[in-house]
Amino acid sequence: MEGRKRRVFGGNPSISIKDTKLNENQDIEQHEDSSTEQNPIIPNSPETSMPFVENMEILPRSKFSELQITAFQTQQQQCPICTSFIGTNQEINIHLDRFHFGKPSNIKQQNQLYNDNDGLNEMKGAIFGFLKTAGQKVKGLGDTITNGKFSSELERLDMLYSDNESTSKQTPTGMHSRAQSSNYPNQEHFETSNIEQPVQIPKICEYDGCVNNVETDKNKFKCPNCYKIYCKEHGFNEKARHMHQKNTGTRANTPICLSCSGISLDNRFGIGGPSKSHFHLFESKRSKMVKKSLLEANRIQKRLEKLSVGYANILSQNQSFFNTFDTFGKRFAGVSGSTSTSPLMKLERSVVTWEKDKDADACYLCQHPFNSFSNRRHHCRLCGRLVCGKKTCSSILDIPLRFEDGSQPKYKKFFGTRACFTCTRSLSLIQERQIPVEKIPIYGLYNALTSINDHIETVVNNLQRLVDQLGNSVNIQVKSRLLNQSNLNRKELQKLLSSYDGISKRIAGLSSTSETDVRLYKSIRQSVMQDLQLKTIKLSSISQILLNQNNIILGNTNKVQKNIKLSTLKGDSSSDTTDISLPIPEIKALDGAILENATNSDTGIETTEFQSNLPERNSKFIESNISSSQTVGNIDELDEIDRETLVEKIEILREQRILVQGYIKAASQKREWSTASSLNTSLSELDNEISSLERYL
Amino acid sequence: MNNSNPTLRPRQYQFKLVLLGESAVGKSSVVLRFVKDRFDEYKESTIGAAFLTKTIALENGDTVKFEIWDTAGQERYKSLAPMYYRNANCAVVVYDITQTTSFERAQSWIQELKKQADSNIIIALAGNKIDLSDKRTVSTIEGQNFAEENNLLFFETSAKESTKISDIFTQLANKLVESRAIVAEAAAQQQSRAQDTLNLNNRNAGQGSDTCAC
Repeated sequence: MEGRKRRVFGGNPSISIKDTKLNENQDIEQHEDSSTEQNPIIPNSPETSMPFVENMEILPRSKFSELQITAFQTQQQQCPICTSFIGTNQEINIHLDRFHFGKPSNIKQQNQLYNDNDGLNEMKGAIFGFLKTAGQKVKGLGDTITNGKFSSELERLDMLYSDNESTSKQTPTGMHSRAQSSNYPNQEHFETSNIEQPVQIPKICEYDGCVNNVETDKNKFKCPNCYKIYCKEHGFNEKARHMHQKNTGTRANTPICLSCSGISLDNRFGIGGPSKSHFHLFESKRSKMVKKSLLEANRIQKRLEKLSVGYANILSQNQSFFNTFDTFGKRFAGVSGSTSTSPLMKLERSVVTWEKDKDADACYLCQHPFNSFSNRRHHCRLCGRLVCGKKTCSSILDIPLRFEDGSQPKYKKFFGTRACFTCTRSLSLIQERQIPVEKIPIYGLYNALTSINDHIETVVNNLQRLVDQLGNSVNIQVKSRLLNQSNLNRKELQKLLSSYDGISKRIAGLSSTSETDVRLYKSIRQSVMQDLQLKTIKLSSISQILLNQNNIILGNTNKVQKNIKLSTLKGDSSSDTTDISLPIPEIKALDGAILENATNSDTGIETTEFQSNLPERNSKFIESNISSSQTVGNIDELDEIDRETLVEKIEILREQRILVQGYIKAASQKREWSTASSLNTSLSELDNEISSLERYL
Repeated sequence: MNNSNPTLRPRQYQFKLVLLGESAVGKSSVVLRFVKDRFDEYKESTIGAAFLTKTIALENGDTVKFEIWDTAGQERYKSLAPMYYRNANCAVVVYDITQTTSFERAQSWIQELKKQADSNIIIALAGNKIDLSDKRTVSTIEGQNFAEENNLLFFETSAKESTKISDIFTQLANKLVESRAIVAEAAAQQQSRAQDTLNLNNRNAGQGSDTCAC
């Protein structure tokens, strides 16, 4: 339709075109006269350009017919679509060309074509449509037109709408009430064309269920895509924009609302959100597969048992078979070409139905076609399918012979029978499964390892906390208690660490037939070693701190001891015992702490001997205050010392690194490659150590 | 390392050895005597950890290559030692028979090795400088008892007079080879046990039996 119209209403009209167009216009007029609705040439929504809209506004509807006649008479044509455009044929052509192509209209719209209010809405829709298509046509400007110009057009149309309302008020018909009853008389149409406009600015967010106030600009977000007004929460969203871009493949630079972006806010963090776990799906699928394979394996096992009993019976009944089957695998030597009459074959066919020869043209495993010479058909005795004799597809399985009562035949314990690769594999899997997990040594050891590791973590955390407290506390009594606790913790930790190490060693020492297991054990040991290295670095600094603290407290003890000795001497001389009762508990407590803590100092102080008078006590307290302030100072220095030792360590390691590099050079000069390679590993160890220490710094 | 194939003779082994002990007990001298059969009266103290190699032949024709890490005894370099004993196959802890403190230090080294090093590590205890036996403060019995308690190889050596130096290393080599053999045997036993049951992997059994009746 559009194409045709363009052709006809082209911007450069020749006379013939004019004629046809005139005819069509006349057609339109006729249709208008008769029914005004069923005009086949009007595919579009009605629209208008501004001057003529004004024009129309001036003219009330009752004068339309009159106008039409005069327009026709004066060679002026009224636009058949929007009824308001009046001009020469050429002008109408241009008008139609410019405004009336795009969306095909439906009957309903046509019915409402000349209805004032509805018509106007139609016009608006058409204008939007035009603007949109025009925007799309001008590549690259799409966004600017739709978002910039478009919205300005919209505003103008807003004005138009209100103007129109005022005009409709003038008309005595029921238009007014209709306009009031619904703000969007043609809402359906607008929605299909994805264009809506806020006629009435809503006061609350338009998001379903949201009651946020959006009257202030601050809290308002107007989506440029759907023109709805949202609150900040439901409006613009970076994520929404991103998702929208991703979903539509467009690169919209303007923020859009959540609903336009196709994200439902409620679902964002729900089951279907981006963090949806697919684990249960995987689990169910996997359990199905496992069940299936288990079923198959059980079936095979049953058949295997039947075969083993059957073979044993047959072979014991026909002793002659033993003579022919003395070597493994040569089961059909002498009986080759045995037919269905053979008891063996009877048995095998009773266990599982064999696939018919003609049913399979090729081996089901390798797809290699069968022939009677080089690629003969073979039946798997366990699943009955036809396979070829290649070793990768089928092989002779040695089935242990066993009678019903469980006893084994005397002469022969195994009997070879053909089984396809799939059955062989599932059988070997069954064998592995028959070992209970708990009996696999790695199982228990690894469990122990993890539990010890957990334990270590908690103890380390405890210790860390204690050391922190130790650094923060000033009170010597508290300090000594903390120190005691942390020493206990440290001892426990040492035990744990050594057992951690020991278990990992045991794991590494486990022997296994499969290479992957051995690799696993080794890697467990390696990771444990690395873990231990990291932990010991941390712990060595902690123990350093503890040691320093211990020394500080010891130093204090010595000082206090000196004081006490001094004071006892003085106290003896003064022998003033009046005020003693008060300080003794404090000193006692202090001494208790010292005794408890200072394990190295073997000087027991008998508090009962201690006697002093007030001024001396004061001096002592001052002294202890000084010493405690010294302690604080020392604590500040501790980090410094710690750093220094670490730095020195790194320095030594670097020196060693240079040395090792020299050795490597020497070794490679002597062409001792194995030595050089082992030196290289040592070098990389050094590097690791250095980097871990540096990280710790 | 070519000991993967048990049928191949002579086999070649390679072991990592670490020397530990207090400073100035003669670790470097022991190594120098062993590797180069030399002795320096005035040996400078070691920096870091020195590296040397020496290959010796055993009686059965096997050869053992030692990669020796001669660590410095000074306290400054103490942090280096764990790096080397951690993955060493054997360790030689040296003390000076004229210095009691060095014997105590040797004991603490052995405790540390037992705790930190590989559980299969073979440790030799060597009381050095027996040429100065007139100044002896650590008796042979003391050392021997301690070695027996901790299941160590024990030697009293003199790097200066080259007594018992090579013995340490040959005995260590023998013991290491022995332990390797035990490990290999255990693995073989495991294998044979695995073969006890139904052998499904033995596809060779089916060879030459392509005359299936079907």
